[in-house]
Parts: sequence; C-alpha cells; structure tokens
Amino acid sequence: MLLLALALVPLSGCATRGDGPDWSGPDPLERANRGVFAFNEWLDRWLLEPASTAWDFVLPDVAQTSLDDFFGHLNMPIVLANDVLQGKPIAAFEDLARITHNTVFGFGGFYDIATDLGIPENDEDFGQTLGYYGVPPGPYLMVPILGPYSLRDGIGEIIDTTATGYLYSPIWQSAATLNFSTGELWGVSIGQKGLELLNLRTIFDEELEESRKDAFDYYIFVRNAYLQSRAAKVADQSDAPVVDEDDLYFFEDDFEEGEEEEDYDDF
Amino acid sequence: MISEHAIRGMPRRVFASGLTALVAVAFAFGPAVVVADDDAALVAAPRQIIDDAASQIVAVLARTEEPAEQRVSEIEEIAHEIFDFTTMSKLVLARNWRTLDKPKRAEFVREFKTHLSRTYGTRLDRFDDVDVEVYGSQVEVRNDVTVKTRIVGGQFDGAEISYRLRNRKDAWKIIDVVIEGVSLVSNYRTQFASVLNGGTIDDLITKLKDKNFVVDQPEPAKADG
Repeated sequence: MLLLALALVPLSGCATRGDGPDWSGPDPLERANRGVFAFNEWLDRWLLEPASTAWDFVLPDVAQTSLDDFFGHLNMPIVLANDVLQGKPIAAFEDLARITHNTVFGFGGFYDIATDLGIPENDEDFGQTLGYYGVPPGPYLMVPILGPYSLRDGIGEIIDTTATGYLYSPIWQSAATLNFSTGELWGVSIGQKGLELLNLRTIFDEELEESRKDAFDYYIFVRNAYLQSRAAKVADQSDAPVVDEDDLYFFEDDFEEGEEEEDYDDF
Repeated sequence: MISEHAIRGMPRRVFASGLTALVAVAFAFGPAVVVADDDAALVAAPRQIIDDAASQIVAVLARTEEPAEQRVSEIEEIAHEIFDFTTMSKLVLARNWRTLDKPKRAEFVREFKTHLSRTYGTRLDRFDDVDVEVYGSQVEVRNDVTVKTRIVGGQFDGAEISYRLRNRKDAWKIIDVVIEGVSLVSNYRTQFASVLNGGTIDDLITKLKDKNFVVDQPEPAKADG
C-alpha cells in the first residue's frame, strides 16, 4: 500500500522550465515525509516549544549563546577532519587556530574569542565532504524528531555524530571515566545532543514561530531552504543560490514581446 | 522538532531575511573589492543604490525614540523604491504568470508586495545594533548585478546576504534576496507552486490577503500603502 502511494507521487526532478521545484532536489517520498513532518510539528507544539519556553525562563540569553558556542566548539574536530578530507588546508589551519584559541582563551569553548579575533569559522561536515566528491544528495528525508535530511547528509550526520560521541566529546569522556555502561554512555550522548538542540531551538524560537506563520506551505518552505542551504554549503557559495539561473531569473524570456515593460506596482 | 542543520543552517537565514530587515541594515563601509574595469562601471550604480538605501534605513533605525510603526512605514517607503515587485511577482509565479489577465496580475503584485512588506518590515528590534558591510559585487549573466553584504554584530553576526539587481527601464532594482545561498524568490516560487498545484490563483491571492490581514492586526494605525 505504501509502495503504491509512493509510485503515485510524481518525481519532482523532471519539472518543465519555469515549473519551480525541480532545483530543490528530488522528493520521491513526499507523501510519507509530509506525514512525518506533521508528527514533528505536533511534537514541537506540544513538547519542544513548551520546553524551550521553560529553558528560556531558566537560562539567560547570554548563557544560551555561551552554551551554543560550547557545542559548536565540541563539534570543531569534526569540522577540522572534514576540512582535511576535502583538501582545504587554509580552512584546516583556521579551524585549528579556532579550536586552540577558544580552548585556551575562551574558557574551554564557552566563549567564542576566535570570532572576536577575526578567525573565520568554517562549516564542514561529512555530508558536505561526500558532496564535495560528487555524491548527489539523493532523496529528501523527513526524519522523526530530527527533521530534514538528504540521504547523503543523513549518512554524513550519522558518521559525524558517532565520531563525535566516541572520540572527542569531553562529556562522553568524563562519563566514561565514571564507569558508565555503554548504554548509559549512549544515554549521555543523546542527552547532550538533545540539550544542544533544545538550546538552539530556544535561541531561534521567535524566528521559528514567524517562519511557520508566514509560510504558504511550511513543508515546502523547509525543504527548499534546507536543500538550497546544503547545496550552497557543499559549493562553499553563500552569495548566490545553487540553481539553474535561467530557470529562476530568466524564464520570462518565454514571454511575448513588450511584456517586460509592464509594471503593476504603481499604486 | 527540526534538526540542527535546519535551524543552524537555514531558517535562521531565511528568518533573518526579508525585505526591510535586510535592506534595513545594509550598511556600506565603502567599496572594498577590486573588480575588473568593465565590470566596475556596471556594478557602480547598483552598488550605490544598496549603499544609499542602507544608510537611509540605518538612519531611520537609529531614531529609536520614535514609535516603531512610523519607522516601519518609512522603511517600507524606501524599500518600495528599490524593489522591482513586478519582476519579483513574475519570478515567483513563473509560468503561472502567463495565465493571468492584467487586473489579476495587478492584484497579485499588490498583495505580494504587501506581504513582503508586512512580513519582514515589522521586525526592527532584532536589528538595533547591527551593521552591514557591503563586501563585494559581481556581474551575473545578462548583466544582472549581485551586491554582496554581510551582517556585523547582533544575533545574525556573519550572515551573508546578497541582493540581485536588474536594470529595467533605466532603473536598477532588487529582484531577489539571497541569504546564505537560499533565494527568497525560489523559496516563494516553490511554495506558490505547491499552492497552485492544488488550487487556483484566486486561492493563492486569498491566502495572501488572509496573511496580510492577520499581519496587519497588531498595528492599530495602518501604515500608508
């Protein structure tokens, strides 16, 4: 039954010129994804949003930013590793400098002094590394609780997260020295990730609410923004969208003569 | 719930986006990028437009003692001068534009313009102490020009916002805003395509009107428009 439903969903990769969604990537599982998305929205409304409100009440904004900086700091070895995997020596040096400065002068990562010092922050992960070497994003997946992924970037995230949890996280390491069992260690890892996401969600609570309210089709809004953002990151190109320019900006060449002179906003 | 990628990577840019808020703070620290001579002449005008609009808007933002509503409507006026809403409407509707007669087109452009203004024009507080640096510009295919800016300070520190401008009828106007690689036009186009897939243009215009009405609600004194 599910397969039948999937077969009926048109592949969005073959839209005609000017049709719109085709640059945002294939979404052959749209129907199932929308179901998961609805669940995630429900979960957010009834669990995560109230939790965020509580967290915001408990923790001052400065502390939220500091905590976010710290989680970013914990992730930096992953960024560094992916700089190296993509053969980007300058980025690697920058990120190495960032790690050492924030560790030594940034209170172990709770204050992002590297940014104050003008050290650029690079954003790399294993999904981007795969993309860098030509792996396409593959189908778009809406994952329960975790949100949007492409197949490629989901696999990348699993690899990154596993590597972080096992090898680098001071939280994990200190838990390990307390003779926690493997199951408990995973609990610590999940708790750490949960805290990171809750904190992040709290910081952007207002924006989340607004984008949800403003959207005409929130599922599409998230999908388009996610896939375009990921494509831009793989290409290290943040000043122009990774799209078919002719389609996005010049499709009106198909219009009849003289129409480009028209104006409809003189009021 | 939405993943870390989603929050950290994308909607924050999109949220931060928008008409007023972003134009709002586009602040020039002078031309910083050396371009080829041919291109220099072409990008000069559009770059100047972003610079000028930005400093005007920053001046308005700085008058924090005045009521927000008044400042919003002043910023809207500036934005209305530098955005090409007709072209943006064409781009977001894509092939659907062709199926509309002139009155319907005018109606759509009016509502879409109001939507962009109302949606993004009312969020000044987050941009109180923010500067924007214009760090580059480049000529695109068929002589569109991209002017690149970066937010300095505040919640969206470091976010990159580019404006794509097009010369039509001897005037350079913005046709797209790109936040960290995510195009505003494409984001609306995909959403509108989805609405139009299951409905008519009238349904879409009704949705726009509903949203405009709701966004209008918190403002007792309706801004001129």
